[in-house]
Amino acid sequence: MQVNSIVHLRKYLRMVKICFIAGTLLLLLNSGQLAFSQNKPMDQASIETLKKRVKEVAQNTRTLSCDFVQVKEMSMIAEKITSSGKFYLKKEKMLRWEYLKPFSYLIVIRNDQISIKDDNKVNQFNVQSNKLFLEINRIILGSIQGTLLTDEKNFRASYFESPTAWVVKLVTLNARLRESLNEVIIYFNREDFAVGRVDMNESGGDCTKITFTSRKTNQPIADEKFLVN
Amino acid sequence: MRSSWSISLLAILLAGCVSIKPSHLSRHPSPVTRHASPVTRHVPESQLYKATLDIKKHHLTGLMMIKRTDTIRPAEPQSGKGMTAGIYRFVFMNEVGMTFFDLQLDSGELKVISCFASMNKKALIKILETDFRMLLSDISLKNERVYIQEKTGNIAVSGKTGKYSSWQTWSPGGDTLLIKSGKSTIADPAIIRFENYSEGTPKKITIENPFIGMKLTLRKLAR
Repeated sequence: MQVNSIVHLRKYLRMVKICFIAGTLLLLLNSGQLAFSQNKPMDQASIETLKKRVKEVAQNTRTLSCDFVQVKEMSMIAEKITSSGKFYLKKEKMLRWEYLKPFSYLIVIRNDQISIKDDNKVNQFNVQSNKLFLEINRIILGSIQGTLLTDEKNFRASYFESPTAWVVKLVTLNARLRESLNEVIIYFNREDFAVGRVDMNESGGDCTKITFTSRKTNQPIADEKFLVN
Repeated sequence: MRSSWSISLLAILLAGCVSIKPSHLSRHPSPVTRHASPVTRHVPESQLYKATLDIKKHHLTGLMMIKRTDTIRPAEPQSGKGMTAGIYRFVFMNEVGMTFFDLQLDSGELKVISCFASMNKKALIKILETDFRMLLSDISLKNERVYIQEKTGNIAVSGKTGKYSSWQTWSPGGDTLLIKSGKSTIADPAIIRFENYSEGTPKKITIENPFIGMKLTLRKLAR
């Protein structure tokens, strides 16, 4: 009888141990999801206000310059890849996306022409001719200008709020885009409705988080800033 | 129809001519001591590279992360397909962060963690597998034969590593690995050049596959 009890106790303890390990693993694996699920869904009136304010901010922004930090997280690798640089935008259709650390890489889009400077080599092509750049350009510019929120053909939007941000989760609907990009999450600052962060969650489980800081709007930016030598 | 067969046959014959052997060699009269170094001397356990990949008219740029991910280390060298000791991840992404491919390599099968649809072709993945296995392969070869390159005085060593026929070219002193090459079939010759050494590791690595006209250039980034 006593032996049986000890066996049962051991079995019970083993079960508790397995449940604890499984629970911990689940918690670790879903910690990102858990953090996101702590955001509260927005009501319809707040969604309409957000859309309206984001549109107003985009319309009133003639120029924009800011710093960015990009963090790439890879599935099952603890190490992250961090790069940083400067971002400039000038209406209409002028963009300078400049990586400064840990490498030098420059993307300039002027009208529909892309210039890329990499290791002092300059490549120029039309944005329409490179599907990958077309998508990246549409996602990053669309996030900052808020146009992605109304792109119902390619994304299904759901709206949340956190203590610091209005959060828009855009699930990719376009089958071709979905092969690489699962969803885009845009964090708008609560005070000024400007974009503070963009997360791009890839289908393979990797994630790229771009945080924008030191934002300056409607300061003069010379057109030469959008030329590549 | 007949002409297309002739063209295919010619292509196969020409491909068979892709040589990984260094030129102008003569047998070395006596054994040469190379300074044995672990694989990690040439490829650190975790390193970020600025990468460019050219395949025919396609030109991709971005970052390549090479990282050893196993925590319980097997004894080195480990036998297997390409004498690859340990588990390594090769993640190639564009500058904006989107992953082109994410491959895991150990002594068994190559595992595709994720891959851009247009690049996820069996033939290309096989070629990349050879490239990366050769990159990580140990410097000790089976059935080694040592030669001297007449013009340069460099030491060339031939032998087998896993299933690959392999060549290595070393500096005349035998202290710096300059080129590693290997192939298992006519379609997967890999020629790897190590350049601009600093503190025992190369700052630049170039991997070429002459059969499909592929060139992968890796430049070490300070982090």
